[in-house]
Order: sequence, then C-alpha cells, then structure tokens
Amino acid sequence: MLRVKLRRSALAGLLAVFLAISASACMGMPNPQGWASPVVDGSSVYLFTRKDRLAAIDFDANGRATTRWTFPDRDNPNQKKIRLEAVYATPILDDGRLYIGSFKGEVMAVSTADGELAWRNAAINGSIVGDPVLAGDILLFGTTENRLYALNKSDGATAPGWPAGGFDTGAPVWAPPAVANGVAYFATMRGEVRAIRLADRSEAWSEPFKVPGAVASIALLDDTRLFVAGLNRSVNILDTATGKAVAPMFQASDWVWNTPAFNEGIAYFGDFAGKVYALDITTGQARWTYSAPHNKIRSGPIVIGDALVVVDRDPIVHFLDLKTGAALNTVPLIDSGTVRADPTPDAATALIVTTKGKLFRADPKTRSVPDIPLGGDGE
Amino acid sequence: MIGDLFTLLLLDPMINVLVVLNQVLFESFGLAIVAFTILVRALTFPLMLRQMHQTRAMQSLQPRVQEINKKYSDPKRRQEELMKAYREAGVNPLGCLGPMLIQMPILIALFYSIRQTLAISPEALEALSGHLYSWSYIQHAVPLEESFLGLDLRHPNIILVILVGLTTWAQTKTTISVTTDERQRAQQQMMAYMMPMMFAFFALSFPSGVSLYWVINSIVGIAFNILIYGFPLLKIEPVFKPRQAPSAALAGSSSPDSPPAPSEPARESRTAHGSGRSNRQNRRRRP
Repeated sequence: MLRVKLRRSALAGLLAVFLAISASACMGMPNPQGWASPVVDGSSVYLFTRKDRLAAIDFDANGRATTRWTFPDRDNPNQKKIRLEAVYATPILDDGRLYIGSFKGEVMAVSTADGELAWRNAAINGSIVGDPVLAGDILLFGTTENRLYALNKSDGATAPGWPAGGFDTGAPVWAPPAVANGVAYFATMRGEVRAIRLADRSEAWSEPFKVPGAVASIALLDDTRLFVAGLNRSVNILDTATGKAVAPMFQASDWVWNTPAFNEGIAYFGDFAGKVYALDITTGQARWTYSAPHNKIRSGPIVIGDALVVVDRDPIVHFLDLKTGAALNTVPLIDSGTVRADPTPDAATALIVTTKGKLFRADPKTRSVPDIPLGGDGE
Repeated sequence: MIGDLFTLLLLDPMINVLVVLNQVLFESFGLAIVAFTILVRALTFPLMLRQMHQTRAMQSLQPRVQEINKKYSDPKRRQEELMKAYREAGVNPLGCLGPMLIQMPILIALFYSIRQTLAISPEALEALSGHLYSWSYIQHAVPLEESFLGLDLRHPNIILVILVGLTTWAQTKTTISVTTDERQRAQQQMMAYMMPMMFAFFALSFPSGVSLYWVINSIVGIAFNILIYGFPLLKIEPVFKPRQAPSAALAGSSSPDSPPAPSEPARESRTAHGSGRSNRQNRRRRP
C-alpha cells in the first residue's frame, strides 16, 4: 500500500510539474504591446497610456496633469471604428498634427488641438514598426510586408510619382527610414541597406550594403554617416554618399536594436546583453563599455549634458558619465512594467514611458527619476 | 525554477533545431515545422508505444476489474484485490500515465517553440533573441520567412482551421478507448466531436504555423494509431503486435467472465456483461 501511495504521490507531483510547465509556457507569449515614445510640445505631452490609446496631457505651472483628449475616442462617431491595436512608431509632430502609424497597418493624422482625425489611410500593406519620417511634405515609412510608402502629409494620399501599393523593398522593413539631401535610406530584415532618391526612386548607391542577418535599426548620425546595426550583433558606419563602410565593423555582445545617441564623433547604443557602448565612429573601436547585467537594452540611450541616460528592460535607469561610462547613479522603476520605448528629451531631462503607461522624468542634474502623475483618463 | 528548466532543457534546444531546420530546408519555415513535428513524434514513438501497450493490458483486465468491483463492497478489500489482479497480470494501473507525462512536456515545448519562433510581434522577436544560441548560422537566420504554400504562417487561415478539426476528429476515431462503462463511453463519443470543434475554434485565433503543426501532429498520430491498432475499415492489421502478458491468461482463468485476448478491443469485452448495461444493472442480474 505504501508503494502505491508513493507512486500516486509521484504521479501527482509529475502532474503538478506538467501544469506548472504549461502555465509558464503560456505566460511567455508576448502579444503586440507597442513601444512608441512620448512626444513633447511645450507643456503638453502626447503618449500612449495604453497600447491602443493616445492621450494628450497638459501640465500646468505646478506640474499638475490634465488629459485634454484621448484618441481614438469611443464617443466620437468619426473615431468609433478606429482600432490602433498597438503602436511601435513614435508619432511625428508637425504643423499642429500628429502622424501615427499603427501595427495594424494604418496611418492617420490627428489634430493636436482637439484630437480630431484629419485623415486616415487604411490601405497599407503590412504592419508599421519603425518610426515614420517626414521629408518635406512627404511622410515616409516602411512595413513588414516589404514596402516603403510615401504619403502626402496633407491628405494621406500616395505621394506623386510613388506606386500606390508602396515601393517594393524585397524584404520586410522594420527599421525607421532616414532621409537626408533628397535621399531615403532604408534597411530590410534580410540584411540589405539601400539608398533611393526621393525624386525618382532610383538607386543612389552603386550596390546595397549587405549584412549577414536582419537590420532593425539605422540612423543618420549626420549628413555623411549612417549607423547600421544588425540582429547579427554587427554595427557598421556607412558613408551616406557611397554606401561603403567608413570604419571597421564593430561586434557587440548581442542583438543591437535601438536608435543610437550621437555626440562629438561618438555613437552610444545598447545591446540585448545589457551592454552600453561608446563607439568612436572614425576608428570603429569602443571608447568604453558599460554593463547593465542580465538586462536587455531595447530603449535607445540619450545624451543630456555630460550624462548618458540609458534605460534597461528591468527597468532600471542608468545615469552614466559620458566621457568614461562610469555609473553615476542607477534608479529602478518599481512596479512599472518594462521599458522598450526610447526616452524623449524634454529641456534638460528625459521622459520615459513604461509598458504600463506610466511616465517618469529622468533628471541627470539630480540623478533622480521621479514619476509624473498623469491623473484622470491618463492614469 | 520549473519554467527555467523547461526553457533550458526543452524549449531552447527545440527553437534552435527549428531554426537550423529552416535553414537546411530552403529557408522554408513551413517545411521546418513539418519536418520537426515528424522528427519529434518519431523520437517519442517508443514512449507512445509503451503507453499503448499499457492501455491494451488495461483493456484485457477490464472484465476482471468489473468482477472485483461487483464482488467486494468494502473499498479497502476491493482495492487490495484490484492491486493483486494488476500485479498478477503484470499491469501498472497508472502505467500509461508515465509515458504520457513524459511526452506531454515535449509536445508542449514543440508547440511553444513553433509559436515562439514565428515571432508574430516585435516583442516576440525580442523575446526570441533570449532563446537563440550564439552560433552565427542561427543568429543570421532570424526573422524566419513566414510564407508557406501561399499561407502567411503568422495569421490564422480558414483552410488550416478546417484541417485542424478534421485531423483531430480522425485521430480520435483511430484511438481505442479503454473504458467499458457505457456512460464513460458516451462521454468519449461526445468528446470525439467536441474536441475537434474546440481545437478548430482555437485555431481561428492561432497563427497558421501553429495550426500547421497541429495538423501534421494529428496526421502522425493517426499513422501511429493505425500502426498500433490497425484499421479494420481498410482491413489494415496492426504492425506492432501487443506483448502477451504471461499473467493475462492467469487473470482470465480466475474470472467467471473470461476476458478477451489482450488485442481484443474493449467493446467486445463489454458484451460479456450485457451490452448497454451499467454495473448496477449487471449486479442486479447476478444470483
């Protein structure tokens, strides 16, 4: 009888293990949550307080927050059918409008004054992950369905001369495109970086720059140099005129998937191994490396004065010395979800939004990160 | 802790094998899913076979078990007699659970490795980075190609939803049940229809890649069932004959209702007690 009991206990234990495994496996499946950064306009901040809701929040002289509007507004007949799903691309603020590209594959313009929809283009093939960019009157963005779109910012229609179904990039575009001197630079998840002239979409380089692996982030450091980081851990600095590497390739410890900060010839970026690098773009060598152990860094660093502000996925805010990479202070954000969005500069501070829709202000002067109560609908 | 072990020992290796298969099989994730599902099911086949043998042995003992249940009203005595009968027949009443419990985490890991590798959202791709080995061959492969035979493996597809329902139903129909209890049999009959509908309903929200896995998994399951049980409709004999338990005969001889041969299906053994009659009715019939 004892053996039977033991056997039963063992089986019950095995069953419990099996259920625990099932539960843990179930919990590990992330659905689209979005990671758009906040947008600052004077005393107003526009941020996604939920993955599918944008809020316009005004701050008075005492720092008290009031939600002016939310988008989409379920009570507004014009916005009733709008479902954002999740937003990864940080909206562009221009001329009193916010241009939003959603993961659902819709682009829309919203008035900052009242949150009214100015236009909406739902005929986009694929999801939008990378930030859109404005090139004059054209809104440019890539999609996961191998397309680069150019829309008129005035009405959302396809820009003159561009194919209505978007320019075929041959592979998904997750990295935000970059534009300088009439040339658009974009990277694909099949490891190609290309440059096309906006006027006629002709190739600006003799051949694409190729990386063995996906490229999820590119950024113009200045008009002549392009930062290209791959999921294969490589970082390259390209000449924007020729598409050739101007410095030896740098190898990070893990995936690099964030927008770098650039200051006086040094590019600052993090990787998924939790390392922050200060890369000399002339030599291709790291001036210093900082380690945030065991925490991925998805959010791009930001330079404020003599400090570099980095937020890891824990989330912990790291204030680093810009010259040496020494930690000046580290501040954990308690009970706040995680941080994947890039911080937004606001005067001499940085605004940080978490996946729980909480807003924090990182202040390098005091090396503190107080939370900003949003109040009302924004809470 | 358990979750970490599951990830380290099962999920991570499976994800990486899946990525390697994708690269080997012409960068087709659909083909990788098909090949990987067949591979995992083939590797776990000995466990499944053992489970089936146990199930069959249990079937052969069912008349004896019923007899004991009727004969002894004292639960303690009944339990002792049952254990004795199992021991004599060389059957572990929970023996079919052991192989199943080993298989289940493997199949769950297979399911989640496919779902994880599909990376249906940027967060999922970010999470995938933590599962990949640092071998450049693997690192360069992601994200994987999502289209297969014109299907986008990230999104649900109605054809695969229907196939999920059909293959689940077919798999249920090729599985032999152990029970001789009419109520349980009725419940199983109901489940034979409910399960396919339930899984098809789930598939409506699954990425097609996961549905593809389910369809292949069910097809392999059907093939295994036919190998083990045969398929009388098409006059297919079982390839894997049941092991003859030496004590099965002994078990049979001690029972007034002779149990069938181990390969005999439960349905036939149930007729010895009167088809459609419950245990209570059978008890009443006894002198």
